[in-house]
Amino acid sequence: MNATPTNMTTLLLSEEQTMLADSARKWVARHGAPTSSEAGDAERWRSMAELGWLALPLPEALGGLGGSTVDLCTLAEALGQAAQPTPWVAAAVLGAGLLAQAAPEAVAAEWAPLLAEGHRCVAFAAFEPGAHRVLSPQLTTAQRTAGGWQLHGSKALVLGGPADAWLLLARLHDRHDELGYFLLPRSAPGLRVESGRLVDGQPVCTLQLQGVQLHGALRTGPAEDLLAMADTAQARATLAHGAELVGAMAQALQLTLDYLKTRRQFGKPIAANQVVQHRLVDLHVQIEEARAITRAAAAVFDGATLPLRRRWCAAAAACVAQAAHHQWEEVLQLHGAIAMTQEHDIGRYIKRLAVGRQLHGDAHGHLARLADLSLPNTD
Amino acid sequence: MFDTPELSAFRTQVRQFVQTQLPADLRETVRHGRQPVLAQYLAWHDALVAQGWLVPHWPQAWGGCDWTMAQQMVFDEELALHDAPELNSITFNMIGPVLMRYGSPAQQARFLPAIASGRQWWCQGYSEPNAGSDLASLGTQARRDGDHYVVNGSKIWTSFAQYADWMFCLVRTDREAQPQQGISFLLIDMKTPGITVRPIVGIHGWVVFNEVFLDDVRVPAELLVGAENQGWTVAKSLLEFERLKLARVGENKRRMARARAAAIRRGADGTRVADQPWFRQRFAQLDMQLMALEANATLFVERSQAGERLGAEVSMLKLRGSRLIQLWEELTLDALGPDALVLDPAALVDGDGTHDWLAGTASSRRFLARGYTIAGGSSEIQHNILAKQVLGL
Repeated sequence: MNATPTNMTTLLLSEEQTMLADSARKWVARHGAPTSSEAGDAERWRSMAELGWLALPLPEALGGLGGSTVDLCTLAEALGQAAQPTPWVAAAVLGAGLLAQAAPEAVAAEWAPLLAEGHRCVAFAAFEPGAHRVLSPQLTTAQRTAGGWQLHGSKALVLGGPADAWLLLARLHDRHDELGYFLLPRSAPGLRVESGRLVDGQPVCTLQLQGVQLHGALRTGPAEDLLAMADTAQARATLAHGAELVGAMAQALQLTLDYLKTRRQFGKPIAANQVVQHRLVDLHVQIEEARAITRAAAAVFDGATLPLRRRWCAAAAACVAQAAHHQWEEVLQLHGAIAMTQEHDIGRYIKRLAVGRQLHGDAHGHLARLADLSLPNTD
Repeated sequence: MFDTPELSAFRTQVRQFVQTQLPADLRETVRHGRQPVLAQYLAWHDALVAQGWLVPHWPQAWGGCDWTMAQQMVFDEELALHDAPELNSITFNMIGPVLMRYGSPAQQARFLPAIASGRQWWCQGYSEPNAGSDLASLGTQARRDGDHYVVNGSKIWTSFAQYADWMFCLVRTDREAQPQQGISFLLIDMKTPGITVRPIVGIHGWVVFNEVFLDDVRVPAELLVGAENQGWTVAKSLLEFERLKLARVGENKRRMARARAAAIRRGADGTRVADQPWFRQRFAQLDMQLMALEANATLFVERSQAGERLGAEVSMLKLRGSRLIQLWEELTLDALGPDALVLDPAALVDGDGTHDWLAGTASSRRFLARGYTIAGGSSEIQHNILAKQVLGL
């Protein structure tokens, strides 16, 4: 019997990852205070670039750091503790990450340093109005013209902050089974951008494309291939976003514990009541499991086969979405009326979690996909 | 799931072993959800001993293989998935390691080889009619009389005492001391005069529990483990290893396979429960919870293997793993429908023959599963432990 495994450590963080998390936590302590100014946002983005965090999701071939999915989730979790929406997941992980894959080499090589240094920001306009989880474009079309392409359509709930350009998928007018990736600069004639915010404060926009003229497509090809590329990038971003929520939950629970240990009612701290203690334990355990399944899915993501990757991504996303929902409800109830006020810190976490649980698909959708993977129809 | 290539090869080896060496009658008994009898357990122990795998997590010096926790988890999982019975953890995971840590050299030499041979069965005399999870209110007395202790009292919920050759027992040796002091840890031969075992038939039809009455039972003083009045320290030293296993990932996967099997059968009308939206939603929910449990357990195992000393936080694995088993059983019941309500004699003690390997004993298994959240520190106790020792409340 000589099957003693060597180097079993597959889910533990490496020394480098622990250092990454530590430095991110310090960064959050310094930069995490809420600001709503554009200058503050720009300053934070520059600082992230200096730390190499914008280069982390980019492949080494393009001068990036080629971070693993576990690396990305480690950083995301630490950033999430601030419940301070930064467009890091949407822009640096999803937008830049997908651009690096979808763009021809020359274009990717031109953009990569600009993205890594924070001079440019690209977001993926993934979904269309009324179809917030469907990657396949229905409304957005691209038609070949003498000078290149002309695009019509619209994209909604676009995350990633004030991007300089948007990456999007469009149907090709002349080829029904093909799609194209296009990069729309903010200044493109015919593009109307309507900016707003989600209830947790993060920027969001709607894009209206009314005859946008572009010289070229980044890539055209069979719909299946281009969608698979988007699906992979979106799945990776969903994991990173899940890790961000885990960080927010952990911090929300810490704030709740601190409050309940000090706030006294009926002559004793609220946390001295067993009914409260057991609920706090359930919150703690739920966070530990959400963290573990996210870590596992991230570890699986870079190595495993596609079915296995899909299975773990669906399960992790469902777990995190359910946890985020339960956590915000509980930390609000356990705080009591104080949590209903705009000025108290816990409110940011409540809103972040309430938004986050739906933003990358709610638990029902992820569970339905998990069921399809583990209970295939025989008919 | 997170197998390294080495671990994956090891898994294959374990799987082939259990598929070929598990006695066929025992496989059928377990598959049908009937209670194995002692002879079946012993035959399985023999097969494991022949392979050198009955106590693989023990040090080689005591007949083990020095397996890592990851290997042990894989081993447990493969056994569970291929219809091997759960091995008696009281014998192999509790008293064995306790003796290695606290036993005298004479006690170690006497008992450890016997346990490793698979021929000695132990039970645990902790709970009493008035002391369940709260062991501090223990009433069984042991009075010193020359080179013996004389034990009087009774134990209850003593699992598999009807099979046991020996019992490790908590007894009160000092009535004046604080509740958790004054307790000693004694090893008692079940053949000693004065011991009466009364089996308790469970609502599931199995005999797992027993009452054990001790009436002027004379126990040689050399069978005291640790120092007199220090039994509490020995008793609560449930080793880290044992607590990690309480995630019961393998046992959960076994039940997941049953739920799936129940749901993919076609009914008389040609439909499958597995196609019902309610079933798909609940199955996926539990599937996800099991993956979260497995990931969490894997993290704990890896931390432990990396040399970290794990604390009370491990309790969360028992809390979640035990509850999840019940949820799988309930899902299986719902998938089977009223077929599972018909009493099958096979579900009873010494019962034989089933009308259906899934439905016949499903109700029995459902009730058996309720024990997981009560035994070994109820879920409420686990909550208290986590609240106090992990959250600092």
